[in-house]
Amino acid sequence: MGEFCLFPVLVVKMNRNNMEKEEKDIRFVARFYRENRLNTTKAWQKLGIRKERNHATLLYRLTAIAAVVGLIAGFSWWWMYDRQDWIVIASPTRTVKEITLPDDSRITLAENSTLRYDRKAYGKKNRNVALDGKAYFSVVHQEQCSFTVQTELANIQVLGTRFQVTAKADQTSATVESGKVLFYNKEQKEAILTKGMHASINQQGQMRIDKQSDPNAFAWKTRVFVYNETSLKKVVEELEAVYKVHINRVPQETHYLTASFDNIPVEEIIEIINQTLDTKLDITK
Amino acid sequence: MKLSAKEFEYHFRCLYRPLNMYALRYTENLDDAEDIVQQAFSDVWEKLAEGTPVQNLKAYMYQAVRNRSLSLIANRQAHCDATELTDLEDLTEEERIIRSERDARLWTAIDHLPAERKRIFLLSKRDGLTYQEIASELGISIKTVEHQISKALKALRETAIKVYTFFFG
Repeated sequence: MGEFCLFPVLVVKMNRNNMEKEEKDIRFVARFYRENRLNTTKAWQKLGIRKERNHATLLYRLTAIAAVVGLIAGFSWWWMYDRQDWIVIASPTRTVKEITLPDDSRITLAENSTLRYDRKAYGKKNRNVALDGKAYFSVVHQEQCSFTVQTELANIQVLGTRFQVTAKADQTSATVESGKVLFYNKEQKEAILTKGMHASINQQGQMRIDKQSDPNAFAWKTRVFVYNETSLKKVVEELEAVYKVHINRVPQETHYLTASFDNIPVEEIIEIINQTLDTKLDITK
Repeated sequence: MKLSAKEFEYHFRCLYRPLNMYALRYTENLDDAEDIVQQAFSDVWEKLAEGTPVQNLKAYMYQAVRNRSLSLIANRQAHCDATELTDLEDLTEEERIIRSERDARLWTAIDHLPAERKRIFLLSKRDGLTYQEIASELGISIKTVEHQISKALKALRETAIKVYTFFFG
């Protein structure tokens, strides 16, 4: 540790006499110089003045340190547990987003949808997410910590399963692909849904449960379509919605289609329909 | 003059090396110089703690170190064959203090020389080796020895004439 000291030193014009003197002084200092000697800090410590004088100061310092540590601990606790840190994921039009949560649960977010969750609490205090729009959930099973989708009109609570939720302003609905789901609203109206079931609740709190859900409920994500004597009009609507295309020259007369398409390009689907029903559909993007 | 431990430490740090150089001029023995300075500081602190006033700590310390040095030499001469008292060149007290402060700066400057340069410098100025001897000792050219020593001297001269401010490590 260096110490800044002020000495009034005479500035002397260097002449030969001074040079000789200086040379002599350098020689003198060099003669006695030893590495690591005349260490001011060590000598000061050897004097031992700080120790005996500073018992009170030491106690005072320890108290101060303890106070600071306490403060930091308190602040961290508040930061960790009382603060929320919301992550918002929003999908734009025509885009499906894949999200993986910290616990490896996977979410597929349909277009124009928003998912939010508290990064600080998720996986620690709860597994809550808030949804506006449509999303497909594949939730990792955790016995002690249920997974809850919160929407404006209803909550969907599970331990671990695959399901889909659509939350609109006037209606929230859920479709279960596998496992068991608890569907409830704030008035404690609730239903347990199992594989293949669909439930919805509207603004008036009216609940509707279907044992057999729409087989194409997940088509927006899987692009798997199953049609059984389905009107061509409905088929066209669904294809347009999923593939984001416009289908032209739909005939006026009613046609019924029985077919299944497993994630193939929309051009091929149209080709198959045209051949099956003898229609002349075409698409514009 | 009442001094807190902190103020006393400041004075100690400023005076420690110059006082050692001062004692060294008399005793010409580093261990003796260190003992004298350490003891003088220890005693003055005790004095201050008892409440004895010390008007000018710097002047007081130089006086104390001088007295102790002289009595040590006198003691030495009583035991050994008398050697002449070191020639102090008829300098005034003030001039001797200024010289000690400069000596202290030179010591610190040597401290701060790069390791290799310091080694060559000390082999020459302290141990009295010739450039040729240093060159063959270290397996380097005489030119390198000359170069390193002139660089070292340049650094020392610059510190020696530096005005007013200085760091003591």
